[in-house]
Amino acid sequence: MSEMLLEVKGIKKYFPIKSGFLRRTTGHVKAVDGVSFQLKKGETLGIVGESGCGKSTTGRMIMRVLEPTEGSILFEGQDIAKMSPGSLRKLRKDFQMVFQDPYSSLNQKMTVRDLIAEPFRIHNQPLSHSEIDGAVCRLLETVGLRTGDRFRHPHEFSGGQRQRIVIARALALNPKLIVADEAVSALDVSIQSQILNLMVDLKREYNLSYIFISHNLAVVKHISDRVGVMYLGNMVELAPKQGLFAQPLHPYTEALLSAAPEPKRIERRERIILQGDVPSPANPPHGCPFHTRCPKAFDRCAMERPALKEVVPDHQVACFLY
Amino acid sequence: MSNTASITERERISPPSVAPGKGRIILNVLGGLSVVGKASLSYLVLIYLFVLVAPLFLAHSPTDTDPLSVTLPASGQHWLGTDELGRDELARIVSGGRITLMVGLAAMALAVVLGGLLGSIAGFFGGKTEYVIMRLVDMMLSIPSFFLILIEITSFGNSPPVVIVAVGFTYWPQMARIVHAEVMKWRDSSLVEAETTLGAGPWRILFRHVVPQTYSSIIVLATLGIGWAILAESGLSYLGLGIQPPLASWGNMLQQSQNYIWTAPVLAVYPGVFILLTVLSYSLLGEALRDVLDPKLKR
Repeated sequence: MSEMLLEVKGIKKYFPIKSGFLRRTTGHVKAVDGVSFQLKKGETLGIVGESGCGKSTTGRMIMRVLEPTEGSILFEGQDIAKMSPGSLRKLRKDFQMVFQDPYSSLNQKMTVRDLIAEPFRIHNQPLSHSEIDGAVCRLLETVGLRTGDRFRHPHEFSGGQRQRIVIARALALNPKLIVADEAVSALDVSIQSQILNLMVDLKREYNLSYIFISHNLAVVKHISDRVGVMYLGNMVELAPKQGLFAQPLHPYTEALLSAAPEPKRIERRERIILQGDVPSPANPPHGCPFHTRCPKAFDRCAMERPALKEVVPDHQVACFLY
Repeated sequence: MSNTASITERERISPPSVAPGKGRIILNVLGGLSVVGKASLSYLVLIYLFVLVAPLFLAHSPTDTDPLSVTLPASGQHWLGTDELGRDELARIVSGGRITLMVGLAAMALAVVLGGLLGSIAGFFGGKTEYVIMRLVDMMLSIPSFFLILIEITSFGNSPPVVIVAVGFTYWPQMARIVHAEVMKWRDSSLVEAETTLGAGPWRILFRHVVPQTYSSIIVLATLGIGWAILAESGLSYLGLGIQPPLASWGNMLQQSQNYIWTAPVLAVYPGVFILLTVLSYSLLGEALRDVLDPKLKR
């Protein structure tokens, strides 16, 4: 259980800003600015943060859809950040992704059967037609779709069903890790819980580990074992779910949690309202990225950037208050 | 329930690609054509059948001359009369049509393959590859196409294969431009990302997933292009540079008949009308296909 599956060390993604007549690089959007975390086998790590905090960029770097500017991503000890596309392709069956919009990530011109058979064909699995068909049917049953529908096209399905198709495709090659980037955000609330419960069941059945990226605190709280909070390209707090939601340490996490609606609130937590806007990632503040809006900031916060450190056992936070 | 509603909505806007199976999709597209489109398509199917099948039943050879019966009017013996050398006009129209129509098709097939391949590679891979290919396209488009064909034909001879290559080679840059633009739209799409994460290689993604998304544009452009290619071949042959006598083509039949325009005007009318109808049908069919395949462009 405690075996390490994924180790992300200081990954950064800078997008160059080109301007002027000669299109010279005049700056960088620091979408992700040095994020590190670890994922154990069988664990679900939730990553939360508001729009533009770099959580999706982090997920896409782990999938190597985006090249990290810096840092290393160790998947079972192998650094996939620097691997050549050719050798990476063979490894890809071990880590799969579920996208936010199942409609645009599926080839509309193919039938569901062909879409789910695609992973087998890509990885040259020596399977006959009927074996592939059998595998497709099993996968459809696993994700709760009717096998009789396998000759239909994606547009004939509802949003939730399409997401099930995407999940079936991701499961086809028995992956070890699934990165779900806003996997349920585009769905109705009632469908969200169905898909989440499906993912929880599949995790047990297939021995999966998840990285679950979402802006929705309730969703992350439901599915995660540990939760990382991102702000402006940095991981500001990383802790087990219970600890984080009961006792948030970072001032940003506190503000974020206080803004989330709670269905049954016994005592009203005080609402922390942050001043101003998130600074631009093209020009992030010196020192702690949050100090411009932090109600508890002091001199040191503007001078140097706090590193993520363990304050309570298993509970890491990047803040000078601790 | 709201999902079912939105699905029926979409089906109403774009009737094609609803049912499984390629045959049903094609039937749906053709069924969705406008009346004009269906009429054009019917004419084209008939004319191709006509030029392919008619030679089996014709009594006269298109090349047998008969000095005793020149420029005869239509009769039971020669249904469309005879030309200036006494050849049967109907047989000439059929064999000339065979050449003209096949040159048009083959030239466009060449343009589709060449333009589609280069355009999709440029659009998908970007960078230097894209730059080189698209500047080549710009260069080709900056040369007046008819003169380019003239030069190619005068230097390589005017057998039908050379005419096909010359005409097709002139049209590929336009095809490449359209395919390039269409493929580029997909370059950073989540479809490509999703296939990448599955482990598919770039070529597989391009030809299995991205290029099929551009088929409708290719079909429309190719349909319009066949009409253009037929006109180009006719123009060349009319100038005496395309298909050479005694081989007939609608273009060189026009050329030969112009000397007899006062004595036997129908000799010019027959090939002229067939060229007109065929090119017009291709244009109208192209427009009608566009309305079906890309409903957003419909007024």
